[in-house]
Amino acid sequence: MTAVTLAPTRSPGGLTRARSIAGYVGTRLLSAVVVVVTVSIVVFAFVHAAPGGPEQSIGGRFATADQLAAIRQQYHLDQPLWAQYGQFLSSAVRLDFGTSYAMREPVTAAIGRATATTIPLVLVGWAAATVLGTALGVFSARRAGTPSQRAVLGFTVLGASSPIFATAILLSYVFGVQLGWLPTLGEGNGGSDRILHLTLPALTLTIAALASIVKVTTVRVGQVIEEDHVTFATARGLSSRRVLHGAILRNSGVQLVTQAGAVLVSLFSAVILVEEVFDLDGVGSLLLHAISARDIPVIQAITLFTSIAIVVLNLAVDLLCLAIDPRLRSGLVGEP
Amino acid sequence: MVSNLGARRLWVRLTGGAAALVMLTSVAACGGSDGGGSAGSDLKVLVPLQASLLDPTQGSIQSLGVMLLGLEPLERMQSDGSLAPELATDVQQPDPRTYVYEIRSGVEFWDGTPLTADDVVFSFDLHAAEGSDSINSSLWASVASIEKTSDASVTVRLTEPDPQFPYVVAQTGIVSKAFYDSHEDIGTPGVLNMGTGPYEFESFKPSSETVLKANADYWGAEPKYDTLTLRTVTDDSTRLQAVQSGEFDGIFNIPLAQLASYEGISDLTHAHSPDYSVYKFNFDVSKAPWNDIHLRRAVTMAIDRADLVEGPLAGKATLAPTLVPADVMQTLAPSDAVESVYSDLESGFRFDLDAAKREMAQSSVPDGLTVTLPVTGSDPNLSAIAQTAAQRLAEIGVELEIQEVDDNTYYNAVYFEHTTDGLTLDNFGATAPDPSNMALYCLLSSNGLPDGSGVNIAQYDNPQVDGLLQQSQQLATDDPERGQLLLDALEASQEDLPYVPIAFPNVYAAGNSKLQLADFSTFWWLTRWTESAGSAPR
Repeated sequence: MTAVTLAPTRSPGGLTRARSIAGYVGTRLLSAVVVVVTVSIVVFAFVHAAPGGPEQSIGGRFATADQLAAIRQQYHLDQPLWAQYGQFLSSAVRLDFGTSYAMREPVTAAIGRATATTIPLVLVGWAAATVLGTALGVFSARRAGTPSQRAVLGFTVLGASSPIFATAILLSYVFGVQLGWLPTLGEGNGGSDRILHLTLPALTLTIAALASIVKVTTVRVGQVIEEDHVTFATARGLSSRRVLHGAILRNSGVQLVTQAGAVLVSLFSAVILVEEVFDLDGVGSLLLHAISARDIPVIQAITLFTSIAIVVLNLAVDLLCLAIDPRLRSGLVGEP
Repeated sequence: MVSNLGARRLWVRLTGGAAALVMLTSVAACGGSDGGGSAGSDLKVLVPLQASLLDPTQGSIQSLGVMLLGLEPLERMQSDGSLAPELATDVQQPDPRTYVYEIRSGVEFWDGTPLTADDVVFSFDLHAAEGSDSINSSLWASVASIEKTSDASVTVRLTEPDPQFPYVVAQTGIVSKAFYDSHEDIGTPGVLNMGTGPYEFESFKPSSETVLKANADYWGAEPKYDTLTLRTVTDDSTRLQAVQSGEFDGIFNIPLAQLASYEGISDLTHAHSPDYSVYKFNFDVSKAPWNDIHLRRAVTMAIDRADLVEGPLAGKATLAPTLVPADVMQTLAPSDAVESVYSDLESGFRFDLDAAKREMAQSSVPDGLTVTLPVTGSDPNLSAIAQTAAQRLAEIGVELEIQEVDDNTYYNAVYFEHTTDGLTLDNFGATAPDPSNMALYCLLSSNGLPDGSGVNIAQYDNPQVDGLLQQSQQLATDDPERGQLLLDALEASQEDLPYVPIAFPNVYAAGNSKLQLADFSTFWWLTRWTESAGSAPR
C-alpha cells in the first residue's frame, strides 16, 4: 500500500490527470492551428487589399502597364487569391516559404539573418526585465509605504510612461552622442561588437517592460506576505530567504509567470520600434521593409512565425502554471 | 529643430542623464570608445538609398552611388557633368543611332578573370533583353541590338536617336558573365556580385548596408580608402545621432527639415547643389473638372509659389518657372535664350487671387470644389507645401483635404493608377542630367496611361509638344538645336497648364575631414565620389 501511494503516476488518479493534461494540450494545439491559419488568411487578405501591388515595387516607378502585367504573370500574382493562398499554404507546411520578391533569396534565409539580431535582443531584454522587475517588486512589496517603495514605483512608472521610441532616442543621445560610450545604430559584426551594439536596444526593452513586472510582483507579493502561512513560517523561525523562496515566491508563481509571458509577447511588437530607432536589421525592420515593398512571401512568413511563437509561448506559460500550482491541475480533472 | 535639440539636451543633462548614468555604469565600462567613430582610412557614410539586391537590375538613382563603386560603367560622369571613358577607352557615334564602345584591355574582375566584350554585352542585356525584369529596362527601350563586334568592341544600335543614351550607359555597371553563369541568387548577401571597380563588395545587408574593401589590383589609380561602410538609415533622429556621435563621417541628401540640426554639428563641412527635381502640382487634364482650363488657371494663380519657397521649403530651393532648372537647360541652349524664355514662363505663374476668383467664376465649378490630395510621409515637404497652399486655395473655393498615406499607396494613386481626384502634388526627380529628361517624362503623351508608365501624371497630350520633343530626340546629344526645341516644348505646354512647377529644391550633404565634398552635385551618385579631389589619403 505504501508502494502504491509512492508511485502516483501509476495510480488511477495520476493516469486520469495525465490524460486530462494531454487532452488539454491537444485541444490547445488544435485551437492554435486554427488561430495561426486564421491569422495568415487575414494578413494575406489585408496585404492584397492594400493599394499598390508587389509588381509596382518590383518594376519600379517607370514600369509600363505591359511590364507590370509580365511581372504579375511571372510571380503568379495574376492568379485568383484563393489559388495564391493555397499555393502559399501547401508550400508552408513543407517549410518552404518561397523567395522574397525584393531580395530574391529564400525567405527563410532572410528571416534567419534577421532573427540573429532580434531573438537575442528580445530574450536579453525580457530576461533582464523579469529578473530586475521581480527583484524590485519584492523589494517594493516588503517596504510598502516607505520612500524607497515610492522611488522604485516612480522610476518604473516613468519608464513605462515614456514612449519606447523616446526612451530609445534618449539613451542613444546620452550614451552614444554625449558620452560616446556605446554605438547609436547598427547590429555590429558579431562577438563583443554585437554585444556593444545591442546594449542600448536591450536596455530600452528592459525599461519598457520593467514597470508591469514590478507592479504585478509588488501587488501579488504584497498579498502573499499578508497571508497566514507566511506569518506562521516567519514565526517558526525560518530564514527570510526560505520564507521568500518557499512561501512567498512559490505562491506568487502563477501570476509572475503569466505576467512574464505576457511581457515577452509584448516585446515582439515593441522590438519593431526599437529596431527602427537603432537601425537594426532584425525581424521588425525586415517586416517593415517587406510591407513597404509589398513583399508578400516575407510578410506571410514573418506573421506566420510570429503567431506560432505567440501561441506556443502562451501554451508554455499555461503548462508552466499547471506545473507550479497543483490546484490548477486538479481543476483540469474536476477534483475538489 | 535647433530649439528642440537644445531643449532635449538640457533635459538630458538635468534629469535623465544622471539617472541613466548610474544605471548603466557597468555596461558602459565595457563599452570602450567604439561609438566614437571610425579611424584610419575607413570611410563611413550615410546614403539615402540602397538596393534590396546587389544587382544592377535593381539599382537606380542614389542606390547607384554604392553599386557603381564596385560595378564600373563604360563611361563615368565627372564632377562637371561631362562623361569620361572608364571601362571603355573610346566611344564612337558613327551615326545618331549607333554607339561603338572600345573596351579597355588589361582590366580584370576581382576574381582575376579578364574583362571581355562578352561581359559588356551580357551586362547590357540584363536590362535590354526581352522579358528583362530590370527596373531600368524602360531606359533601354530604344535599343535595337547589342553586339560584340570584335574581341574588344561592342556596338549598340538604337531604333531611334536617343540623346540620353550615353547617360544610361553611365549608370549601368558591368558585371562578370562567368560569375552570373556559375552562381544563383546573384546580389544576395551570401553571393554578392563581381565587378572590376576600385572597391570590392565585402558584405551586404539588403536596403541597409554595403561594406566595400579596396581592390589592391585595381587597374586605375589606387583607391583612397581601405574600407567603405555605406549605410541607409530610415529614421531621422537615428541618422542625426549617427553623425553627431562621429560614428559616421558624413551624410548625403540631408532632409531639408533637418538641415539646421546638421548645421549645428561642429567640425562638419557642408555642401549643397541645385537638385534636378521639381516640386509641382499636377492637373490630370483628362479628368473632369481638371480638363477645364479656367479651373487650372484659377488654381495656378491662387498658389503663391514664392511663399511656398520661403515657408515650407525654408528658402532652400529655387523658384521653378518650368520643369527643367535653368542651369541644366543652359548646358544645351544659350544662356540668353534660356533666361529670356524662363522669364516669360515665370511671368505666367503670377500670384493673383482676384484674377483667380474671376477664372473660378468662369469655370465648370464656380461654387468651388473639395479635393482629396494624397501626400507621402517619406517627404514631409509635400505635406507642408500642401497645407500652406490649401490656405490660399480655400479663398477661391478649392478645399484641399490632405491625406497622408504610405509610399506604396501614394505611388499607386499618383503614378501607376492615377486614381486621385485629379489634383496631385509630387517631387519628381530626373534620372539623368540631360535637359530633355524631365520634359520627356512629364510632357510626352506616350508616358501617360494606359500604355506608358504614368509619370506623365497630367495625362498631357499635345501633338505640337509631342512633335517638338520627338524632333529634339532625333538630334545629337550636344546639338544646341535640341535645346531650342526643348524650350519651345516647355513654352507650348505652359499655355495648357498641365503642371504648376513650384521649386527646384537644393540637395545637401555634410561630412567631416574624411569626406571631401568640393565636387558635390545632385548627381554625386553617378560620379566616383569617394575619390574626389582632396579625399583623405590612404
